[in-house]
Amino acid sequence: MKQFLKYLAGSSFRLVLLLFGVSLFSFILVVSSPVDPVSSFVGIENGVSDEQRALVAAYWGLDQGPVERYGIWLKNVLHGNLGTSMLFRRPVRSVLAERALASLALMLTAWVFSGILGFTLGVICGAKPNSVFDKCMRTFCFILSSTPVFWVGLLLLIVFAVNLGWFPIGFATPIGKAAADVTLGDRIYHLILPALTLSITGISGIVLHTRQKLMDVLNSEYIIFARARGESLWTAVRRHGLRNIALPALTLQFASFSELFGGSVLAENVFSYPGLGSAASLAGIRGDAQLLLGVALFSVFFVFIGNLTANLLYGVFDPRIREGGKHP
Amino acid sequence: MKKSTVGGLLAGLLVLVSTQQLSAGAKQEAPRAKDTLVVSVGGGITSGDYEPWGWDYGFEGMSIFHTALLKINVNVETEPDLATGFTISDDGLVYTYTLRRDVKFSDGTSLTAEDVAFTYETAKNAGGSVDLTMLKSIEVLDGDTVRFTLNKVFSPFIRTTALVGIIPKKGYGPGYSRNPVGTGPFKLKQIDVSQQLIVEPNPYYYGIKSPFKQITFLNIDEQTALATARSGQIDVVMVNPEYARETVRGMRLETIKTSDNRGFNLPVIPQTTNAAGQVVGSNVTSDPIVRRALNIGISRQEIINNALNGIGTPSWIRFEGLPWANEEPGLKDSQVDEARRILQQAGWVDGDGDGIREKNGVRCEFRITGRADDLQRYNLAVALSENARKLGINIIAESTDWPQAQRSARGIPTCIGTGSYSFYDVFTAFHSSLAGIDTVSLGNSPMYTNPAVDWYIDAMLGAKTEAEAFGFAKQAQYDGKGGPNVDLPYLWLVTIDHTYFVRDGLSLGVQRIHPHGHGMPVIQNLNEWKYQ
Repeated sequence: MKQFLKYLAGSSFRLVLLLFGVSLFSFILVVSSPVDPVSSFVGIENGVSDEQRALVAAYWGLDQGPVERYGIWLKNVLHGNLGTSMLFRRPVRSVLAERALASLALMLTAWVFSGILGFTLGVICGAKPNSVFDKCMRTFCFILSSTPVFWVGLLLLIVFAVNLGWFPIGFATPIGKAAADVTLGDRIYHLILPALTLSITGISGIVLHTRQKLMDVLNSEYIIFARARGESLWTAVRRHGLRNIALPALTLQFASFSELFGGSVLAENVFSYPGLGSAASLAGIRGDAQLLLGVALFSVFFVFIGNLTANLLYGVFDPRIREGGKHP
Repeated sequence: MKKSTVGGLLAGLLVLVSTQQLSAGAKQEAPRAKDTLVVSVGGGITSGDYEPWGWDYGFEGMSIFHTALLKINVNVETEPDLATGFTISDDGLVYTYTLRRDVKFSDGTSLTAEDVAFTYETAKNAGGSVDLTMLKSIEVLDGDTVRFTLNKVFSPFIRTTALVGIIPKKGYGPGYSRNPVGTGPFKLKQIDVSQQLIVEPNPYYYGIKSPFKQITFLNIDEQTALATARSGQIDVVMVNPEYARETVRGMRLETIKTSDNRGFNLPVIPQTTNAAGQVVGSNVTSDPIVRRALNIGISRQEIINNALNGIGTPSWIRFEGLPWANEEPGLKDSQVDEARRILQQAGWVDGDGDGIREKNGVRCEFRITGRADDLQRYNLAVALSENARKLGINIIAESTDWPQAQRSARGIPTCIGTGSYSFYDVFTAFHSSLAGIDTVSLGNSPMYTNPAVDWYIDAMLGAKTEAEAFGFAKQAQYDGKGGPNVDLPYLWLVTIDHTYFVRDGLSLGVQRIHPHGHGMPVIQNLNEWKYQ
């Protein structure tokens, strides 16, 4: 237990360091990007006088140097205040809170779906390499992994929403329906296509890795011995294969948190899904530093939690790792 | 070998499915109730920031929740709205507005002069998109009279009062931007930020009431707008001109005239280096003959066909369609021979036979940029470059990110978009105070200076009525002797048309000419939309 607490403390310390580093790096990127927030908001073709531009800059604290701006931001964050989004004219925290929920629902659905489906398909492929199914699946995976998320999204949208009319064309709630009347069913119904888009593109890596790992395991001597003793292929896979490929699959699945976040930026834009991804792209394009930093911090936190969970689960799945902690 | 066959088949199938579905007609939906509308005019309207000085919503007065003291009518002239009229003092510094007495906000409270004063005081300090730096003070004289005092003569202030929506002093507070209370034709029913905005008619509105019970605005990605139109779930959807040749069953394409001009600045001063070490001016475009040859030698229609799918109207002036535009003395393009002749005469001759003219060792060649995030502008830059080649002028078109394009515009012309409801734009375009080589702004980026033009523009800013201001604005462009319309510091190409797919039978009323910005302008008369 003590060991565990020590581990947790170490991890938390690293998280804080990481958050600081990422925020500093993001801030440097934002201020050195060519986007001038005042111009992007006022619109340079808008005939606004220099006095008004100065006023806007002063109002949003953009008239100060980058070091001062970052200092103020950092001080506020330590007090739990993430600042105000220029774009939405609301506290960043409330923008994040509102959008994180939608994004998390989307990402977790896609994550679970791609994990289960990818693992299953990978096992089938790996058990019978070079079968027709394996060949089709592999080709399919190669195509998918070289396909941009937004294109898949657009394709699904055209086929399933426009032509077949099975799913809505986007958004998280039905068009024109008052919030009070929106049911959980409505929300799930609107989640399916974007989640499918996100999971389809995430599947290929998991399938290919799982397949390769299982093949390695099945080619090992103890499996050959087991088969020789008369164990069927699927029994061997179940008894020896799954255990041995669980760890790499798990690592991969939790490490995919970062890709998931990146993919959701694109998928959310295609489906007009109001999550963190669309907020991030908007903040980046319009130079809303506070909001962008907020989203960056959130994503760091998200990815970190993913990796931490994987690390903790290693111990659960493989007692050797748990034991290892006691004898450093 | 086998593997690649399977892969090819799969890939082929995917492409087949996608193209088939794209070209196939949409599944026909059951006709929806005619007392509601679903509209997509870009993401700005779903921003959830409905203060009249918000970045997207209040811009150019495209308010549906608010009305202002004046309004801009279909002829882009101002006329009374919340105010019954106004007077301007002899020194041009004091504006006195008288209010209507029968106006109520959407929460049922009455509009008073206090609300007007409160609005302007709040707007001035809001750090928003409305420029009120010329406003010194505002006083309430009595219940229905307010007096504005300016710190300089500034006749475009009349326009400003047509753009700033009035908010209630009592109903304003934190959260107002998401729950606006105003005097406009609609009130907010629900906002799902970045998704949809649902509005319903404001029962207290004093003007034409909308026949629809509910109107929903959707935020749809430009790429999916056409697909959405095909799904039959939407009644009005903005599309890019690239899609203007498409057809959608049950909908028609509406092409709406704008003053949304595109053109390039042509630096009128020779090449030099400014304080920041940047190269500004040009030894090619500083020759008035080159500027004239370009203006008369290119074919604007050809450029529009190549760059914009034919959607747009050729234009050679900046203020096309606006009441302060001056078309004098007129200009005819596609005069290739005439353009070549004057270039030849001025000493621009192709000596080395490479198709590009030279004069005193200077090649008739310059770079232009189109902003990287706007395909239309880059397409225009490329089409212009193609079109100028036959004149022996080599224009090198590049795609540059917008902030950089603006910063370098005084040395490398960039594609500028205009189209403002304020005649202040005449000042922005031509006044010498913006002509400095160190200025970083697209205002007067050709660095044009002309004392006579400055005089007219100053007179325009000091005018007592809009009619008078328009007169000076027109003279600033051409007064019968000279001005920018003959000096040609810009190369204007086109007024872009705004394209929308609209449900058959739905009338969008009389649209006033749209300003800069595709999307929102179409809803400026939302309350007049109806099924015929």
